[in-house]
Amino acid sequence: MNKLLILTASILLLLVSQCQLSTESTSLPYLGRHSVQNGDTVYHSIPDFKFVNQDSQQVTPASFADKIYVADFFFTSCPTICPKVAQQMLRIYQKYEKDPRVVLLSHSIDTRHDTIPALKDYASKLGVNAPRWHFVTGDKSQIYKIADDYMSIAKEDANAPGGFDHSGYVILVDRNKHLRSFANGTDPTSVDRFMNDMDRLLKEQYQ
Amino acid sequence: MRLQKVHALAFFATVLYSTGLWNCQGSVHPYPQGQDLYRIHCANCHMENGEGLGQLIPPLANSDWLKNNRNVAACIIRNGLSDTIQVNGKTYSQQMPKNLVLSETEITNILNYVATAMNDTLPVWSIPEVVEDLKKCPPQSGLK
Repeated sequence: MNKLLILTASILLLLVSQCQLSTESTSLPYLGRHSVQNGDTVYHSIPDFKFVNQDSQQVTPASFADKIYVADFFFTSCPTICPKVAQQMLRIYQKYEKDPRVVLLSHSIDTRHDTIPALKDYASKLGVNAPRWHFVTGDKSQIYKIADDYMSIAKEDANAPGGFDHSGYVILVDRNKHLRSFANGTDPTSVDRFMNDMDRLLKEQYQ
Repeated sequence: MRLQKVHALAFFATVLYSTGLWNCQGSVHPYPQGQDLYRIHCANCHMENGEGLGQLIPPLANSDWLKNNRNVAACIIRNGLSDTIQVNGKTYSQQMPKNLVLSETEITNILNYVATAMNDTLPVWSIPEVVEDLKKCPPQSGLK
């Protein structure tokens, strides 16, 4: 009789734990290289940064306090994938234009040519504004280094079209600076799924 | 009975496929080479449907500029562009890179894909016309 009770209890426990597992699986994964401190998992997060946007305003992690944001890397004279990524970023911008919880952040990797006026010109020709969409420049090594933290690629390469090699990924960063989703910014279907992830993250972090 | 249905379906599918009405690659276009080359060389900036991007990249779809400047269109594909132009009432000044690998025939096919797939009233180009146009290209208006 006791054995039966224990069996029933363990089956119930198993069921309950599975329930918890399945609710957990509805939240977005934490991406990147995690570390362990005092036995706890520490999720990969974006380190501090200091850039300047198209309006000459400083952009730091404080600019994204209590917000989620979408990051990418580009340059204004890019002859390859950038316009396609910009078109998809524009879709994201337009969908969340009225939602103050969402911000976009595009890092220029051509710090020599993409001056603040050049970034301003680019943003206004796309018809977008800070602080909803920041186009930033800054210390070149800091931009290339932080690309690693976004698990993105940004480097000078004389053999690449336009002189720079970079990925067309867009990356979703949550309120706590953790990476939660990414998409191929040249692929509208991938960006559809990404925007769905953005909605899930908003639900998860603003209850 | 069931087998007959399968046969009928297979027959129907074959007819669809052979008439080109059913094509996994998308719709069949009279300028397939132009379509392929457009996707490789042009669509990144001008977008698949030729709508362009904001005031950065001019549209090729229903473009008044293409209609009014048909004799320099081939030169621009080959040599790029660094001038400021007006398209459908908007000003564009982003540089366009040159593309020296395309032959006269390939340029003609791209132009004709753009003319027929994206423009309602743009006449197609002939290869001799494009060859002549390319002989008269203004000296290097593209990227250095």
